[in-house]
Amino acid sequence: MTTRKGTTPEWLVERLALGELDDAAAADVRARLAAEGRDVDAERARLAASSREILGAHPPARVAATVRARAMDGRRGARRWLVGAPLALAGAAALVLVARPAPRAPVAPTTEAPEHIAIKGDANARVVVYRRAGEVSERLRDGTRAANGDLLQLAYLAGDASFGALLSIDGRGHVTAHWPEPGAAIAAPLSARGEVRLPSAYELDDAPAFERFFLVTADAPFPMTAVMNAARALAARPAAARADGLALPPSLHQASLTLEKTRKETP
Amino acid sequence: MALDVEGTYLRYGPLVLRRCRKLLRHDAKAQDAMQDVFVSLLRHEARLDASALSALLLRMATNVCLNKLRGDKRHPEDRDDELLQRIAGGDDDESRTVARNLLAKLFRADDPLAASSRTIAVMHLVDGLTLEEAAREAGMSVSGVRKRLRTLRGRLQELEGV
Repeated sequence: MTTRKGTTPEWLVERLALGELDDAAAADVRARLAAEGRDVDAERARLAASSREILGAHPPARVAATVRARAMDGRRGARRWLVGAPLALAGAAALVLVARPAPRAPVAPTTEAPEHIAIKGDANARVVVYRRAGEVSERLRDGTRAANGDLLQLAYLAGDASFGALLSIDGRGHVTAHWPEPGAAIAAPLSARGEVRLPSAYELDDAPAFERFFLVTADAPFPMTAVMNAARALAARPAAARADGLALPPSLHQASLTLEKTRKETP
Repeated sequence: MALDVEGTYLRYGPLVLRRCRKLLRHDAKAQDAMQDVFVSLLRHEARLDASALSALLLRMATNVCLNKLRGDKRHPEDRDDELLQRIAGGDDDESRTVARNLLAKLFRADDPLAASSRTIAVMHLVDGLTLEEAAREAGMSVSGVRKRLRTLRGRLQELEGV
């Protein structure tokens, strides 16, 4: 046997606590702990307390849903940084998405009041839109005027939600899925760590009147079909599309931000 | 076997997260790594042996964390960190192959590279497992563990000699 150094490895203590060491190894670890003046029951209690804390902070149902969604996402072979390419090629006349993430620019600080409209549900989940101009990004509030050619960086705050989708409708009645990638069957897992920017920038086209962004969130994975159908139904009603919410199941929450479109002057 | 993700996480999730926290020393990154481990486990559920998953999960967590450390390129903060950086930091074809094929290798008993040399090194040099314990936990022979450590030490020496 090679020389032992230091205290009993935590690796072995963990396996002992789970009861997954064979009898000889378990006896050996118990003896080592005893020789170090450590009590096996106390070690088990320490790990159990830690486990309770972890499971409380990261509940099994939520973690399992995220893991399943990520595994499913990987099986589709998604390459999220290419999110814009299919739509751009599809030629939705109105739309140009940049295939590669645009360089991150400094964000202008803001202390303004709410930038978005929480239509239903988690008030902490929100869609965030920046307009990039040179080296500076300007955070846009609900109702801000924007023009065709403006380069927008979309982001979200997940609040308490675990899954979400970000899409927009415009004054021509078009619907654009920004996140997850177009064609995704289920919503994307959301990061709970503050504001998360999408990997591609979005250039506003010349659609008239408005561009309205929606963040739809839930505690569990949800099918994109229902969300996209609700968005198309709302987009088809121009009189309602600026203000009404998406007709979604009660388990789905939504927040929106609307930009008022103006036509950019041509030199 | 069909993996009960919620049940498996309930039993082993805290173990994996503690392992990732210990190696990464960054809670958010550790949570990401923990999810990576369970995603990988789910993707390979058909080849899993349901009994006593803790050793496998500890090895998987170690490999995931080493790959993340390699990506970080952060400055070492103490001896353990420095050791981990050195173990994780090889930048050669084999390292990339190990990262890419990690799980496939873990489940291929006939493959001579059935466990990562770097994981073995962490088990022995960082965790303090003896060669015998490391061999048992990795499902290898002691001579196999010795050989992997020799190979790794040789690579580190080569890197330091540049």
